[in-house]
Amino acid sequence: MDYLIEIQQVTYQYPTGEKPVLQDVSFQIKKGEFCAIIGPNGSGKTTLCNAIRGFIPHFYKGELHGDVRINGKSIKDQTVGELSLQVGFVFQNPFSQISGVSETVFEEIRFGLENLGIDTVVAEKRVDEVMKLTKITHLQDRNPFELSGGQLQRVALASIIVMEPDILVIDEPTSQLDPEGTEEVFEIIRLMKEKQKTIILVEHKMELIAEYADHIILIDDGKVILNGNNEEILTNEKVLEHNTLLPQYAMLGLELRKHGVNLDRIPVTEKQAKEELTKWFAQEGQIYV
Amino acid sequence: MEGNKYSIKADFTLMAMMLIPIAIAINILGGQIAAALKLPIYVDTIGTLLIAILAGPWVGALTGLLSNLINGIFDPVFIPYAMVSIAVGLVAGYLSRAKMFNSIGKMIISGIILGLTAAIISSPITAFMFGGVTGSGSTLITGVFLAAGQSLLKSVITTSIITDLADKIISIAFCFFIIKSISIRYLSKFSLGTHFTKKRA
Amino acid sequence: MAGDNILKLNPLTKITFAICLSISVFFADYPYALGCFIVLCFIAGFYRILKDYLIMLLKTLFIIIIFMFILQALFYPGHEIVWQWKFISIKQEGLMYALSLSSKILVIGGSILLFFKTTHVKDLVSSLEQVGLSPAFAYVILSTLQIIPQMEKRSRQIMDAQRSRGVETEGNLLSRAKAFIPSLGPLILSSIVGTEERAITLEARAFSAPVKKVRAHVVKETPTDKWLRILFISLLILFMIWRVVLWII
Repeated sequence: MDYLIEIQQVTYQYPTGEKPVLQDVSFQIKKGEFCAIIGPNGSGKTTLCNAIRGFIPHFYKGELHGDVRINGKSIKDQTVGELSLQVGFVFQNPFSQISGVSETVFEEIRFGLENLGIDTVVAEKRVDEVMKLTKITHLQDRNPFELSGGQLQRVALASIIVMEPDILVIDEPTSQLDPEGTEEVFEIIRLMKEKQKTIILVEHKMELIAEYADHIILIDDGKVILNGNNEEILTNEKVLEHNTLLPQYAMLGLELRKHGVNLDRIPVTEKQAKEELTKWFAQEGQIYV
Repeated sequence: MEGNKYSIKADFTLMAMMLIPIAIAINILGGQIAAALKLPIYVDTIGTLLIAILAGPWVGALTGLLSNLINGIFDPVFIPYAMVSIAVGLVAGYLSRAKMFNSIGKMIISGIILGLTAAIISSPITAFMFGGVTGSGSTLITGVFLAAGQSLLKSVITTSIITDLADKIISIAFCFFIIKSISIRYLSKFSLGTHFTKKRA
Repeated sequence: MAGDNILKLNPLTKITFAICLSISVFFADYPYALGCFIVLCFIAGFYRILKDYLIMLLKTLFIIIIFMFILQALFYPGHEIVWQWKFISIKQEGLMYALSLSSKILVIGGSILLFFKTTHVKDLVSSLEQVGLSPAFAYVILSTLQIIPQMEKRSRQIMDAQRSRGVETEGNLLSRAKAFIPSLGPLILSSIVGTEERAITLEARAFSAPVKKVRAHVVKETPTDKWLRILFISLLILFMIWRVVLWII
């Protein structure tokens, strides 16, 4: 089986750091997979994203051991510019994710296409389509400097999506947004999953991860602690030992089990929780009533 | 990095390029705030000094040039003085390479060198292009020297040495406080930033 | 309309005109320079910005020129005294020197101001990029123009906040000087820290991708532009030759 992204024994230390931020990290991601990276603050998630996008070792100097391969090719052998054709990158702070030279949202989204050398007519069509997809057409003539955080984060996502990278690395896109903004951003991420993009997402909101992720990796203190599929990880109590939450439905399931309620499986999403509880009520629930 | 090999290309990192607009804005805002507070000095080269100290002479020179050109859009008098800003950027950058901003004593010496540089280059421009007039209060000082019987160029030079020395020493002190407040991790991104990271650890 | 036609000139054509005119004043006396200034005013009239243009000149160049007349008239070494009051005397030579210098300043400064009053900097940068200016350099200029008003806005907010917290922004020199640091320091620090993420944003938008960029904003270059530039430069050269020959003879 070929993997699209291979992280091979990566150990990395920032030039001014005292100890490695990543230690012997290895895992693989298949094409079209939605992979969530979870773990406490300061565990190395953002550093890992920077390594996948090639900002480590090209932008952040420091010692990098091991290798990151995209499509079989090492990031060490590619420039940040070349990698921008394959890997899109969106990060936390919406206010610093503007080019700083655009007067309108439309120009802002087009900026990446200009840099890719795409013909103007084609580019404008693609910008229109992406704005429709991300529901920001109404913002197209606004100045990016005047938008709210949630609006800007959608513009940032659109500006990356329009470049049509195969891989999207998204680092805590909603940590600075209100619930409404979060929902709109995740709506876009869901659309990208439907389009079979390979997505790597760092996120703390576990209910959303339960809903979307295929593959989950738990990182703590720079090391991979758990690596498995959605239900395997999200029903594992070990996650809680690493200052990381589980979805509230999984917590409910685990708690019920402790009190002797025999669920067939631990639910991770709202839908599964409803199913399991309905099933259980149908079978044994009456005894208690 | 300790081999002290410097090159123009190595100085112009993407980070340095990103800092140029900020440095220009700092120059322009510094001048505006100083004028709003009615301070007797210009303080309009803080950005140039800051970027030259962190990213070397050529980034500093470019920042100085662009600052004056952009100011010149609204007031063309700034344009000939671009020569001064370029020189300030270059000299500050070379002084920084020679680690001349690493102690209070050295900073005062650097301030004097920079003040003299600015005075020597700006005076002929003021004297021969603008007939001794600067459009600020310092013209009055020039007038006093002229009335005392000195030649025009000499009067202008004396005037600008007084104002430029004060201006550059105060601006450098300001830069020092700014650099002290920037994180080590961030400083290490610039070609000369490591000069300021060791002492703190 | 005539004005509309001039408006559509390539920025490089307009800047060639400004530069040629500025150089030419060094080869002639003040009547020529004053003539050039009248031409500049006529062009401003074509663009229908004459009033604005003159106000801007008043605010910038005229102040300097007035001071220069005072300084030169009083202190320029000369003998022909035009007017005297006690020990203060105004000399003919000083007035002539001031007139010659100020007429040149008027033309050079005036053409620069007129150029920028009739040209968007964005168009100037685009036209320079089309003839080979590096995209990174173009980015620096354009982003500077966007950042300045943003930082001005934030600096005003900070200064207002300082005032409401009781930091003295008026009063004696020392207290005003003290207000300078809190007014600018935090703004500088927060802006500097943002540059790292801005750099990453640019990389994420393929700014250094190994392909030739295509700019959507293109400035038109017509044959008229080309011919006008040739005309301006040839006229300047002929004028210079003529003046130098006259001067030698």
